[in-house]
Amino acid sequence: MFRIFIRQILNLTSSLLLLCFFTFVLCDYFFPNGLSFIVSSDPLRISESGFFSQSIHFFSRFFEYLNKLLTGQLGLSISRGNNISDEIINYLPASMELAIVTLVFSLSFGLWLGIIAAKHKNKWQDKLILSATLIGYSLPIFWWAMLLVLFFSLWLGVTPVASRIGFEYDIDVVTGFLLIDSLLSPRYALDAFVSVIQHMILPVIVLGTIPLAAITRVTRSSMIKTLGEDYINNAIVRGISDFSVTWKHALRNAFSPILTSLSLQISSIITGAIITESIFAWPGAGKWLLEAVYRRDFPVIHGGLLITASIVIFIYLALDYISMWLNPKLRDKSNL
Amino acid sequence: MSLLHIENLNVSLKIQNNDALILEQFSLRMAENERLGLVGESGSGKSTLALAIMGLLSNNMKLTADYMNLDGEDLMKMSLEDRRYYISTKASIIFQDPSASLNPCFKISEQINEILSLHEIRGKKLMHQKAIELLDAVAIRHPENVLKMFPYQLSGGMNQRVAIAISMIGNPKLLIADEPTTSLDVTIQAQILKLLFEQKQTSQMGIILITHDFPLLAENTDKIGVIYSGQMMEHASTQNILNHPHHPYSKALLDSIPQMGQRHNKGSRLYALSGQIPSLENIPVGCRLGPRCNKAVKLCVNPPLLKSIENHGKVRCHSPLYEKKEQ
Repeated sequence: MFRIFIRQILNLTSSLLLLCFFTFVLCDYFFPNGLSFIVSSDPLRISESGFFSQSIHFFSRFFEYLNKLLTGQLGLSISRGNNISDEIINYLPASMELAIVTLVFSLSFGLWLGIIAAKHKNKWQDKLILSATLIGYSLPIFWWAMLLVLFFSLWLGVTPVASRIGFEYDIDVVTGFLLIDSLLSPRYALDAFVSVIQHMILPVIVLGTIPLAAITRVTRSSMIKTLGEDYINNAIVRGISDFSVTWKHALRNAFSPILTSLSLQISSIITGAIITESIFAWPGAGKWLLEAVYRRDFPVIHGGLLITASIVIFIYLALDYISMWLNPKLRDKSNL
Repeated sequence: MSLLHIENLNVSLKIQNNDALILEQFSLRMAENERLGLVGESGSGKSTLALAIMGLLSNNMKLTADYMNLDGEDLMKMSLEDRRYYISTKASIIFQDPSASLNPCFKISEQINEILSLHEIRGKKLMHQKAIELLDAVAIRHPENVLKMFPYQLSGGMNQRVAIAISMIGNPKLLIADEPTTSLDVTIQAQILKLLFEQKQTSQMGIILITHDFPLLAENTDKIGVIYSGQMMEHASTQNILNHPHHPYSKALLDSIPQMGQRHNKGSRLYALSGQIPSLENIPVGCRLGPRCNKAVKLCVNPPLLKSIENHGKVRCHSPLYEKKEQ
């Protein structure tokens, strides 16, 4: 276990280093003076006197860059003049909240539907779920979002169209997660919390549709395979309840492929978040990045790229640990 | 009273809108404490029978039977849930692949404790003590260590011992062993079988031993049922079948056992029944063995019935081999 831990740390640092190197080369190559935004605190002076002139050696420039990153300096936004690290802290929690709720939504419903389909293999329930997931997987999400807004917001009027919370609520920022903050501020009792949930329903459905479909399909096939195993038959014969056989004995063994598919879906959630956030005017990192692209706000794009990529790296590390926890065989395999 | 009494069991599988019968008109009667061997080629429906008795058929198979009595209660009259509960108190099964019969995600102790708690044995200390007793009974040397391990850390033979130990919890009246030794080394095979029958001695249960290894049945069973293509072909005591196989198929199976040592005829070829077991889509008319049988006559286009023969047992054949001598 300790050896695996050391290996993971080495893995982590090397992938982060590679990431930094990649972003550095990208910036350094395309914008010879580009990286000065990180060093000179005044963005207007970029063109006048690049700190990173080409006369300094490539690797010296790279280490200077690393040094700045490690102290948390990502430079200033060109269009707004704000410190980019502050902007990230401002926008990231909104995105993370959306992503986490989406993940929980798609995972719980995906497992549930997948298990129903697996248990009724080739019956009508299975066929219904399979065709629904096929449609869900191939839906263009911007179009799907429009349909949902049209139906739920414009025709039925049950959900709001945009933003994270009703404008009448003024919530103090504690964690940045409005689901928690709205409960922490006693001013509005539960009203604010309900408003947050109402605002969340449509974006979560839109963002979660594709991961939900993918997880359902993987769960179904993996569960069908596992439910046919001898140890499942043994568990049934020995009188273990149906619920326990499915959710404890079978699901835990069927979980590795689901986890793999989940790790692929996480990147789809992050890219999907950019579209979803701009449709629903969700003040998150996706919308922030997209606006930066429109404005050619290069330092912001750079910071956003760096931060999302590192988040993905950390999520994959966490998934590694989860799969090790689920599958004891992986725990003492030395060649992980 | 008989422990297991099955009458007219049919198991069918839908293949392209046709019902193919995996088991047809299958009848079986087994006394308490009996050792029954079931033998037949691969694909003859032995394992399906085991799954049918235990209520484990997959949901694309259909089961019908006049009745299926297990220890005095008719399984056919119970709902699936009642049936599974009843079976869990009366019967147990051991599968062929020991590494697949234990859940790879849980420690041995967790797996044993879960079943123990279903049989009203609770409390950490009591469970631990009982678990060690169980593992001791199947001759596992360091039960404390084994309890802490995961199935993949144990060998096949050890896994099968643990599986046997778990299936002994709750003292089942019927144990079905579906080729329990096929995937093990020969030396381990003997140990596991010995163990199985020791367990039978101490806990007084009936055993159904499913195998295609005739010599193994000769030593360990009271009665043998010969199955071919989903039908019981011959059902008689072990002695009778070994000495006077009445059905041509039983004879063919016995003839195809390699003879070693003095009885080996140098240069002779090992007997093999020609042809293959029919697939489910193309089951022959009349006697299912018909196309492969060297004793087949015109009458064999009519399906034979399982009929009793005096001083022997039951045979499904129009012209049993030893009939004339006995008359």
